[in-house]
Formats: sequence, structure tokens, C-alpha cells
Amino acid sequence: MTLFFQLIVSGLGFGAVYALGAISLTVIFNTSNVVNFASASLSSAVALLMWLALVRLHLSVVLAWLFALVAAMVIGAVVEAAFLRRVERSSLIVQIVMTLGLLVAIEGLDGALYGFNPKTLPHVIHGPSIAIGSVFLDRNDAFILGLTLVLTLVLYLVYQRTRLGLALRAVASDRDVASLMGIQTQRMVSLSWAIGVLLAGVSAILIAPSISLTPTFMENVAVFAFAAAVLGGFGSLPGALVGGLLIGVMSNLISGYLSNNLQLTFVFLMILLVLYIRPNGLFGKRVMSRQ
Amino acid sequence: MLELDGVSLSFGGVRAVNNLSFEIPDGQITALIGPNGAGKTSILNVISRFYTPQHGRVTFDGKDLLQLPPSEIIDVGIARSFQNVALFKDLSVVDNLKIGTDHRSSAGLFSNMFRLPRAVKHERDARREAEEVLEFLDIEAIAERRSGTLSYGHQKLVDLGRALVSRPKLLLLDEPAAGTSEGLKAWLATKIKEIPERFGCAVLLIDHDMLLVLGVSQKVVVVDFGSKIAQGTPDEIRQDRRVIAAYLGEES
Amino acid sequence: MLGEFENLDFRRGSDRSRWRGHNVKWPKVVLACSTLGLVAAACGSSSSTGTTATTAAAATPGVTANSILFGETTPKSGPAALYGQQQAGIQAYFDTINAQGGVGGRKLKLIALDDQYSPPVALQDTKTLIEQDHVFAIVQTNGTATTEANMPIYQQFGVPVVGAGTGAAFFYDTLRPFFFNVWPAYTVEGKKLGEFATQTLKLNKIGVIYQNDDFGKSLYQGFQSSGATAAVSIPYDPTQTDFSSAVAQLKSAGVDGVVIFAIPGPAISIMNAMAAINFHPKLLLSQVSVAPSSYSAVNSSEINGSYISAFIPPLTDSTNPQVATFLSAMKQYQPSTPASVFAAWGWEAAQTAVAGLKAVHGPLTRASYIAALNTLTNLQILGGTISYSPTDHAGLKNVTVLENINGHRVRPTA
Repeated sequence: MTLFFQLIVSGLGFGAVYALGAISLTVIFNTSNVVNFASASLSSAVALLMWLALVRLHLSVVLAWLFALVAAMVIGAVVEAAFLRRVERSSLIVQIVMTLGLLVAIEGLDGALYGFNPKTLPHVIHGPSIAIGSVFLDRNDAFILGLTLVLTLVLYLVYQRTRLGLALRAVASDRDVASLMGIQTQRMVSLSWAIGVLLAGVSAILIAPSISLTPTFMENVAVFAFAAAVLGGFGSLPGALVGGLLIGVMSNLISGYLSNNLQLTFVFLMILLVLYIRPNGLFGKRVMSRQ
Repeated sequence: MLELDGVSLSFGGVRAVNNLSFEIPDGQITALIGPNGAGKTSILNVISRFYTPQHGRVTFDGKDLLQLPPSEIIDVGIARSFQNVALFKDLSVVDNLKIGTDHRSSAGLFSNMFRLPRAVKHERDARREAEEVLEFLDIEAIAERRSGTLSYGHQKLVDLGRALVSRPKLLLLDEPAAGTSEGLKAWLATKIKEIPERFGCAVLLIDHDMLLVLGVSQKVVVVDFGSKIAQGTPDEIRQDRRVIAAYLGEES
Repeated sequence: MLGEFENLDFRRGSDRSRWRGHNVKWPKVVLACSTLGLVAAACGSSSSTGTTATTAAAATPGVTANSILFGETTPKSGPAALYGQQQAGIQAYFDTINAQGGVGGRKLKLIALDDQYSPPVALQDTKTLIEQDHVFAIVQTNGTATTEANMPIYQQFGVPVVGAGTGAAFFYDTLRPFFFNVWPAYTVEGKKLGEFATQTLKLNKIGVIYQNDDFGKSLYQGFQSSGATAAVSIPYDPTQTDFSSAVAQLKSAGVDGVVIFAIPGPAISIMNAMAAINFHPKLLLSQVSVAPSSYSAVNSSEINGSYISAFIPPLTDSTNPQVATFLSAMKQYQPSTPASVFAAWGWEAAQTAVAGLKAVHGPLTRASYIAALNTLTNLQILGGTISYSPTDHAGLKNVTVLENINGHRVRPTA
């Protein structure tokens, strides 16, 4: 029984990281209708900048975070303005190729800048793991989980309770009409990319201490995050959160009781099953389609 | 208030609007009528800046409208409803209306985020204004429904409500009653009549339902093939031969 | 070995830089081509049938009256760029020999190319070395997949290869006349760790986590051949990042030691995941798992006291004459490259290659060189003792186990 609970508790830490990644994809998809396949390299880039600030430039922790977070938002806005805006009226396939191209290009660029040897980022929270009976919860995992819940809640409130959120939702619902209503749609799309890369970057910074930091280290995580977003019904924030946590826990249980090797396979089989029963995902109301 | 002066618009050689001039007086309902394809919606699109005419001037309170991009039209005080309804289908009715209030400080969206008390007050004001309009249109009951799930008639009302809630000086209504039931049409006519006084704005109404138009407007402008063929009070228009001919011609 | 990275780096094909130890002058190449009467075939034609080792002595590729040209391909950019330090080790040994007058009056020259750890790039590099640069032999390649990719072209031209930077079974199970392993086989390494776990550490219950490919399986196979059994064995996919479930299983099984057969990235994740659930068994790792760069990515307290298989002796031990020579040569000839384990890999491959040259009797041809390599017996190199025969090209047979103490690899105290 200890193993069962340990698998669940351990799964929540990575699950929260998948959830942040899924929320990032959701925020960007909602306003710009783009599935951001470059997420893995963008978030790695942010974590590497954090490493640069903390380890190379010896900035204080607070300053380093500030630097990384601001950089993340700038990267998001710049990538949108420089690349995605050019293809915003193009076909889906062109946009997919664009984000995939960015994935490879940014990884290559980071490789040239930092090299591919694993680097280390310190844990945000230090100290021994928290013992809950015979089950252990890593402090860093606990922090990630808490932060993810708080960020999701804040984001949800911003979306539901503020005029900015309303404007973002309006752009998500119908960009042309939003423009007619005097909403500066371009700015909303920029903003959502900034927020999206910020969230993905935070997830990368938080998980980097547990795995090794390289220009490609988020690729595997991004695959799970993508799965989480699909499971949650691409477009729903609560769906992305629940999808991420569910995938973190489920993949751990599958790996613990069935086969470690088939982790990814079973996760995707589970998603296929969910989509078969609920084509719009667990929380979805809109089908991912384009006219 | 709004003045069109010698406006001409053509699409690749086809004249949609031909040397058209008319004026919309303050605080009144002006109707723009004409048979299908007479160029009514083109004129509305010129005023809301979707189209730029090749010739002529459009001024609003003395300001040259043609200098503004479409997104700033709402800021000078012109709001419109849409012939084919352009709601945010994923958002609730009240959210759709709240967006109508947004233009008044859309630049402050960001700073607003960081000033919570003010944001809360804005939110409360927006909601109250939305509710006033909902009450005026008698649709409070559907305030929280997702607008994509509403009947067409209700969607038309929400579309009208969203234009109203922005407190425009000039409200452009593009066939507000088209496709709705006879009962709703009659009720809508009485509501439109109340708008100038209740919301302190002028209205430009486009419709080809003569009964509706002549019943609510103080001034009527008749167009056909993009040109003005008559202008006057509803009574004058009823007796205008060219108008009768245009309409009979169309309907026979 | 580290061919196990390749699924991460196939894409990076740009920026293929050439790294040359010494420049080859074109006239020399042209001369070599024309002497052979193979100008059209060897100088750029893809239909080249190549030169064989049986060509007349005077025309032996890469050999002149006063020089012998070797080629090398290792990753110098990309995820495994650190392994490129092997070039410095080779060069340092060549410089040492050249300072003594070379071999038989011929100076040793090296052309080193960057294969980026990518099999297609490695293949292209190797074609360039053999068909354009006309190297005499290859000294040290790097990686399982890259070396496998090169094998057909080595075979086609009969080019001697000394040192492959891999211990995968593919290179040991089949004897290839022109191909000489320097590293111990992974099965040997796995067996040593198995013996150490059961006999030296006397562990009762051992868990094994291994990469699910030729690299990990060869090591695990060796582990089992020692008679050790794994109470729990967990295969993993090389791209896996979340190991929390794998280590929870190991902990739940109550193992007192865990053997990790992984490349550095996953090895780091595994050790961090163990710390997260307060699980501190004895750790035994393959030398592949703990490239020095991965030390820095793990909390040092996690790795302290862990055991690692090795064939390169502790490089801090300057009382070992092999180590002392290596360190001073690196300092003298390659001061800008650290005297790392990677440089040591290159160094010992060069030691073996040069010992073969010295053993040649009569004219130097590829055939006579291969024959000479086959006669090497009890050759002392940095990593131990090598003996080849026409039926045994297996390289080093001995692996030791070292302990990680405060970031250094030392002989175990226990």
C-alpha cells in the first residue's frame, strides 16, 4: 500500500509540471489558435536564462527570478510578433511547421550558446523530503504543486473576473468581432504568448533541479503536457490542471504496476480512450478544429 | 452630428454608393431605407470605417471619421449592431455586454490589473450598466446563458444591447428586426423609439421593413442603386412616387 | 558506448566544423592519387571502388617517407561534445612520440573531424577521411551507433580501426579483422559491477535500472553473468525524465543497492528521484553514467560514496607511471584541454595504435599493420593490459570499481 500512495504522491509533482505546461499551451491556443509545439524549447530557454543569471552572473535568487520571468514574457511576445504574426492567417499546417521550426531553431541556438552538457539549477526549496507516514513528499514537488494550484487559480480569476480576462476571452471566442468591439486583439495575442511562455518557463525552472538542464530537457515533459492539454479538452484551464495531475499520477501508476517502459504508450492509450468516449476531452466544450 | 458629403464607393468598377450626402441630426432616429442591394449596408460600413470611400467626406461632430481606423470608431461614440449578429458565442450574455463597456478605457487594461480596488469598481460598474440594458431589453433572465445557445431573436437583442451599453452618441442598427417574429418586431419598434431619450443618442436605422421604419423614425433617407432618391419625414416619404416605384418595382 | 544519445541529436546537422590536427597539403594528396593511378576514382568519384590493403607498399594511403596520417571522428559539438576531448589525448600522445623522432622516422599526423554524435555525420566524416584525406588508419571513433554506421565503409576500404569508444556487444561478438577494440566490453563491465555488489559490498537485495537498448542490455547481461540476480529490474526509455515511479518500486522492494546502467541525463534524474523519496541505497554506476559533467548536476551528497566501474585509473594518482606520463604530456602539448577521462580514452587508443606501428616488420601497409596489431601481447596502456590475436580483438579485459569521494574517483576503501 505504501508503494501505491508513494506513486500517487510522487506523481503529483511531475503532474503539476505537466499541468503548467498544459495551461501554457491552452492560454496560447485560446487567443491565437496556435498549438505551440515550440513550448519545449522556449521553456528550456527560460530555464537556461535562469541558470545564466543565477550561476554565471551570480545574481541573487530574487533578481534571477525577476530576470527569468521578464525574459520569458519578452521571449513570448517577440516570438509571436516576429514569427507567428506572419502566419496568423495561414493554414494550420503552416503554423505547425512554424512552431516546429522554432522548436528546432531555438534548441540549436541554445546548444550553440550553452552547449549540451547537463547543467544544474538549485532547488527552490531546500531540505529533506516531508514524511507522511511511510510516504515521502519532496519539498520541491510540494512547492511546485502549491504554486501550480495558486497560479491556476489566479489565472482563472483574471480570466473570469477582470476586464483584461474578458478581453482575452473575447479574442479567444471571436477575434474579428473582438476587433470590431474596439479590443486591441494584437495586444491580447502578444499578452497571451507572454503569459504562456512565462508559465512554461516557470515549469521548466521548477523541474530542472530534478532532471538535468540542457537545451532539450523539456521535450519529454512537453509531450506529457500536450497530452494533458488534450485530455483536459484543449482550451479549458481547469481541464489542463486536472489533465496534468491525472497524467502525472496515472503514468506513475502505470509505470509502477504495469511497465516502466510502456509509460508513454499507456498514457496515450488512455488519452485515446478518453477522446473516444468524450471527443472534446474531459472538460472541453470546443472541438479543436478550424474552418 | 454625422454628415456624409458627396460619398462615393465602388468595388472594382461597381458603384455601391454614388455621390451620397445626408445628415443625421442629434437625438433623433434617422432611417436609411431602400430595396435589397441598394447600398444600405455599404453606407453603414463606410460610417464604421470597414470601407473607405473613393470620394467624399464623413464627419462626426466636426471630426473627419475617415482618418480613424475601425477599432477607434467606438471611442468617438459610434456603436453598431450587426445584420448577421456578431456575438462572442462562447461568452455569456452579460460578458458580451460588458465587452461593450470596455472601449472607455481599453488602454488601461494592463495597469488596471495591478490596481485591484479600481478593477473591482470597474467590474461592478460594467456589470450594473450591462444589467440596466438587459432590463431595458427585458432579457435579464438569460444574462448568464452562453450567447451561442440563444435563439436568433434573443441573439439580435443581445447584439443590440451590446451596442447600447457602450453609451454611444450614435447608434447604428443594421436590420435589428430581420429574421425575427412579428411579435418581437412590434415590441422592438417601441423599444427603439425609446432609445434616443433613454440613452441620449441618435440612431441610424437600416431596414427594409417599411412599417417598422416609418413607425419609429423622425427622418427617412431613401436610397436605390447607391444614390439618394428621397429624403423627408415618414409622412412625406409615404407619398413619394419614386419611393413607391422603387419598392413596388422590387416587390413585383 | 555513448551512442545511446543519438535519439536526442539527430536533428542537429548544421555547423559541421572540421578540426584538423595538422594540415594535409593538397599536392600531397594529388600525388598519392596519381601514384595509384586512381585519380578519377579516389578524388571525389562516388563510384570509387577504393584502395585495398593489398596495394603495393609504396602506395599505402596516408604513408609517406616521413609521415603517417591517422583520422579521428568524435563529437566536438552537440550533446556529447565533451567526448571530443579524446582528440587532445590522441594528439598529446602523437606529439610525445614525434618528439622522440616518430615511428621508424615517420612523424604521426592526425586529422580530426566533428561527428556531432550523429551517425549520418559520422559516416560522411569517415568517407571524407578515407576517400579524400586518404588516412592510413582510424584511431578512435566514439559511440555505438556512430561506429556501427561507419562499419561498412571501414570494411569496404579495409581501413584499420583502433579504438571505438564503445563496449557494445556488436563490436565484440563478431571478430572483424581490421577492427580493434580498446575498451572493455560492456558485458565485462557489467559483470565486474555484479561481482563487486555481491562479493565486495555483500548486498542482499539488488535493484537494477537499465536503458532498454544494446548499451543497457549488454551491461545488464554482464551483471547477470556474474551470478548476481536482480530482485527488481527496471528498463527505461532513453528519453524518460520522470523516474519517481521507478525508484518508488525499488524502494518498496526493499533493495539495499541499486545498479544504474544509464547515460548521464537519466542517471541524474534517477539519483534526484531517489533523494526525493528519502531513498539512499548503495549506488553502483556504469562509467558511462557519470561523465564528470553529470556530477555537477547532482547534489554532491547523492553521489558521494557511490561506486563506479572504470578502466581508466584515478587520474589523481600520479604515483601510477602511466597516469603521470599522461598528465605531463597533456600539460606540455595540450594545456588548454583538461586532462580528463575523455582525453585519457584518446590517449590509450593512440598508445595502442602506435604500439601496432612499432611492431610492424618490413614495409608499412594496412595489411602489415593489422598483422602487427594481432601480435601485441601484454601491452601496457593507461587503462590496463591489452593482448590481441588473430582471433581476439576484444581490448581491455579488466575493469575496476572506484568510489566517488568528494567529486574524485578513488580506490574503494571498503
